[in-house]
Amino acid sequence: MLDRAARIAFTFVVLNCSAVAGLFAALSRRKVWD
Amino acid sequence: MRAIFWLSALFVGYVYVGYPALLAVWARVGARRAKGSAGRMDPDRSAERFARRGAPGVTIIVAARNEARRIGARLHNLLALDYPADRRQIIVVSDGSTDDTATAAAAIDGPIDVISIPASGKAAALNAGVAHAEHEILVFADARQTFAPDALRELVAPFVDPEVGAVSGELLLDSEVDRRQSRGDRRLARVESRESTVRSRQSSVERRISGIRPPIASGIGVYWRLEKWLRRQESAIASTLGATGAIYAMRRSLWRPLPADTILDDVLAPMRAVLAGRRVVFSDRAKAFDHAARSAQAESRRKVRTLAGNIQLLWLEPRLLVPFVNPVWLQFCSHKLGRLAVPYALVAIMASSMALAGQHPFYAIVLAGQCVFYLLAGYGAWLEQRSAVRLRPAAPLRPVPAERSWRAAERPRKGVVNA
Repeated sequence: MLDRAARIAFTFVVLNCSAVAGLFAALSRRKVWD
Repeated sequence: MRAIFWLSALFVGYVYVGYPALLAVWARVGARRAKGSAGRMDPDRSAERFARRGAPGVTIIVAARNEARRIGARLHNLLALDYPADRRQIIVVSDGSTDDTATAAAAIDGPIDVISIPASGKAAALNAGVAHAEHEILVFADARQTFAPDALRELVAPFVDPEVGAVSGELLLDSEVDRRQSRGDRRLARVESRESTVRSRQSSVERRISGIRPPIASGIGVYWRLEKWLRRQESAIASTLGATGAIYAMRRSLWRPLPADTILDDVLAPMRAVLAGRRVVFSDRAKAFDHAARSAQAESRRKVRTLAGNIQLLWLEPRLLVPFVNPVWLQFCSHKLGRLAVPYALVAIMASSMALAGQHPFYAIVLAGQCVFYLLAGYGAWLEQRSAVRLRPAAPLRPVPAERSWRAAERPRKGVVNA
């Protein structure tokens, strides 16, 4: 139960950090794909 | 400071709780209204009308770069689909492959057109594939995933409704398949069993990797299920916001060539259909199978790409931001843009609750709750790291470098867990 909650919380943090990185990638026109 | 706290908290609450609740009510009310009218067609009626009219012509386009290892199994999977062979065209576009992708595809016995173009990116590959398409319905697929045997039939069935411009299928991650099988979903178990015969063509190393279930996979499974639930509700109300890149179809008449640097073809093309006044529906009967990300890094790369793609959409199609032009404006802002803004709201909640903690016990409790949550996330990170060390394969693997392949094992999958 604790491990499952930890995994979900960790994924939530990863997704939100990725959203910030995605914004910077888009604004700097950095290639994120191919 | 209180205003910042409450506005940020309300915003995060709306994105993750309020908006789903709104969709649930809206979809239920909408479905009740549609019952009395000719409105939304239910899947059974679509399938029935589809069977009466006969199968429409379908062109399946698989864009691939350096997929020689997978393309054979993928094409066998497509050729084995339950669909009239004379109503189906398969096109493989090899985009600047430096391996034997084109040769491997051409070697498969069946009606397969292989096109080789210089490395120009996926959007250009899709444009090239569509230019060679002979049929009215275009189906887009990737080299890595596999379709359920009836996926094509189910994907095409909703097009009997002339309002429908595009259809997104359902991508099932391996963790979900396990979960559904353990819950006794017999139909899915049968489909997965047949699909596994295709997977058996994979190399033993790949199978061994597929068996790994890192912690991030179960976390992603939860978010992916939420995402698909949202898509289902949005589809019932009007349109989903884009499609699942691994399995989607659209009318050729609605296709417009994609700009070469398009990141999310599976959102841009369907949203253009929405802007043209058609619906994009989600069919959970059309299933494709894939595995979840192998690591947090892989998932993060995938998300960076997806979210950068969502931002790119705004300058490729600024009409999406105009309420009376975009028929799903509220959904677009709540679902797509809301997710982009949540991290900043979370930072604002943390900062404001720290500032307010000394003023009222409520803010101190909220601050403590956030600390517990982030500690829990830290524990999740530790579990992830531990599993990465423990599950590292003994034999050195040599995956295709990310810059050389669209679909190497650790790389982003478009349209998945779209935020």
